[in-house]
Amino acid sequence: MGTVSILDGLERKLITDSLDAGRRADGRALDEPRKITIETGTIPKAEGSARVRLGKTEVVTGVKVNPSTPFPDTGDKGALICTAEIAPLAHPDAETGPPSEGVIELARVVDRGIRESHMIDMSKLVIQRDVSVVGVFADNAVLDDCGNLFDACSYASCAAILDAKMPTWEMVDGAPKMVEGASSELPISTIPVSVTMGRIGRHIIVDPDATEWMCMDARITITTNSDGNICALQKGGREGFSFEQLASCADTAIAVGAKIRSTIESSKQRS
Amino acid sequence: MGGRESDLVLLNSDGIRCDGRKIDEPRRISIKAGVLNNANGSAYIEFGDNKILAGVFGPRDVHPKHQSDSNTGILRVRYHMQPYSVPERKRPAPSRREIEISKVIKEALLPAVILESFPRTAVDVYIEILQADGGSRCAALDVAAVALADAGIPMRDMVSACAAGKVADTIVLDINNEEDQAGQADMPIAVMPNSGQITLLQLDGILSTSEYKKCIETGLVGCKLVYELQKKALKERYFGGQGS
Amino acid sequence: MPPADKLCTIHNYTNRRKAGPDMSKQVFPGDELSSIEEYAAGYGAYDDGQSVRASIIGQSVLNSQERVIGSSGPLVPVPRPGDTVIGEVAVTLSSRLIVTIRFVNGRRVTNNVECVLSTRNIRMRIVALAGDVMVLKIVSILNGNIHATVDEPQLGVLFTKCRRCGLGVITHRDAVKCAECGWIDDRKLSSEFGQSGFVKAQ
Repeated sequence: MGTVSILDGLERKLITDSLDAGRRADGRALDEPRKITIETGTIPKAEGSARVRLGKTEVVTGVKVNPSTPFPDTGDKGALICTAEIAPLAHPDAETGPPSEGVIELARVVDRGIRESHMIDMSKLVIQRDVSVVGVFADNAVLDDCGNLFDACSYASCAAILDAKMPTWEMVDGAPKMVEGASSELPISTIPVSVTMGRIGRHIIVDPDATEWMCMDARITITTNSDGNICALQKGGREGFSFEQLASCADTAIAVGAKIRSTIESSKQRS
Repeated sequence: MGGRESDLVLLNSDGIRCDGRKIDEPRRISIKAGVLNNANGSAYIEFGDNKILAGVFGPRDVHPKHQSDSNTGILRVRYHMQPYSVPERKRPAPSRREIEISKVIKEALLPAVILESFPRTAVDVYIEILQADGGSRCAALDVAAVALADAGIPMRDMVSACAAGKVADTIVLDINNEEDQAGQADMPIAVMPNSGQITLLQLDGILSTSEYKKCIETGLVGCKLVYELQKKALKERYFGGQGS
Repeated sequence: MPPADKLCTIHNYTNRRKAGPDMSKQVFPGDELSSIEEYAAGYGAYDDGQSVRASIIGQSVLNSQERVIGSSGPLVPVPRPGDTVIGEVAVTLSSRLIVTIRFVNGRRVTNNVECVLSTRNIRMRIVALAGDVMVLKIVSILNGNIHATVDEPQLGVLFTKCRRCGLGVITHRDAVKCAECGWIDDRKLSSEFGQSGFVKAQ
């Protein structure tokens, strides 16, 4: 551990004393995520959108679906780009200007969960092979940073992708032309759900809030798909996990993830 | 402001505009104050199809230090559009348009804020456009002023903004996106309602001198409507919506 | 309603009375409170040369004895004279300390504003070390700086470390003694040294 200020140390002691007594400062069980609320269609002008609140953390994600030129080696697949930004109004320490390494990691972890789970069947997003494909952009904006942005952005991206309506294009004179009035949903094959866990001393907690996030020794984000398989992982933080801890984290991610998956699925049915 | 040819009827013979409004009727406006947890003050506005969030931090320490002033606090404003806020995905880096709008909004707010008792500090106003429609700078300014008041930043006055413009040779209140594209003039206006000082004024398009005066007068009527809604939002937050 | 800690009370005014239902009203920035002949502008008000006007949203507050009128409303994170602050010593200089403010009247603030504590008149080798947590009272805002004092028993160092080995200390009469190496050192201690009740889970 690096140098910790006296105040940070006092705050950490408050958290660990509470965990040693078997409870969290906000009264949650160790494996209990904060309340999740999902609204879809928040940004009607985007093809898909969702506003997600995970406790006090809030993310708004918009999905844009546009024809794009394929990469030379993947002319038989559509393109997916998932970004994340912590808006400067989200936290006093959030900065304007180029993204920090933490924000880049956030975007890549969210992107990896969706990409590696093959949530969207990219082979169905081809307008004309090697010439024009469908590009899906999911842009996450964190508007209130109260801890665990990985999961909040991941749920918001999934809900916005499920909400998205894809226009239909046909090739006219070598260029894609939108067919009026014809749209469909994106081809979805599975719903990836990330569960981030933090280790504070010997305790492992699901969905750390802002104060817990500051005190964590290590964290792990485990993304599982609808079949209950693990499809993406990211370990972070200044310390490590034991093998036994990681094995139990996977079980937690699958169990907690299954409940969250049904919340995400029902957000689509409501809209 | 191209006055572009199109099939769109901007104003019909009954004086009804393309979205069904009368010439002196603003779009639907709703404002809510105190919507964020971390910011010192915040507000959210829906102004037509604009959906805009503003957060205020400060007075706080200034980085970089050389910007700080030992006689007064400084005001900084950032107007930023989300990539999904416009029909064609916008790249996340700030455009020249966003930088200019940030500056005019800052200069529209500066006469109102009283920062002399906070030397060497900054008040940061961050505006995020979640969905853009015509008149987004006025809506952004309206929500920023509410967020400043919510943060307890001392202000000489509120700042209330609304656009007026010229559509089908008629001066109308509160230009929407279609009217902005196909109309003849768009004039955003901001005023400090108690003092009557106009702190933002821009024009895109061509007006005669008499139209120019009529356009300002029309815009000021819209500002007055916005001012009442700004006070209503603050009242709901601080007095639970009860009458005085 | 906003959280109670966002609403301020004007504790600087003696004999303050919240004006009766006929007098106290909800005010918004720019609202006229009185003419300048009647009242002077207090906290939450300003004078535009003709009228006293509210500068913050709130309930108008009248001090009829001192002929001052103002408004109570949301608090900014910058302290005012009379406020008690808790902060971390950022820099120690020969005749003053710079302290980064973390709490104002018990309220956590994140704006990293600093205050200055003059140590010129404190007859002590070491008042506080960089990194120490101190409780101070704000006395003035002068020439762009916020000035604080420790000249009361409950003001001074709340938490510190041994200057030699960096470990925890215990009080030793008016000084501190390292629990590990026994080194004895001066500090301007608060009577509440070691109490951490101000730290709360957010």
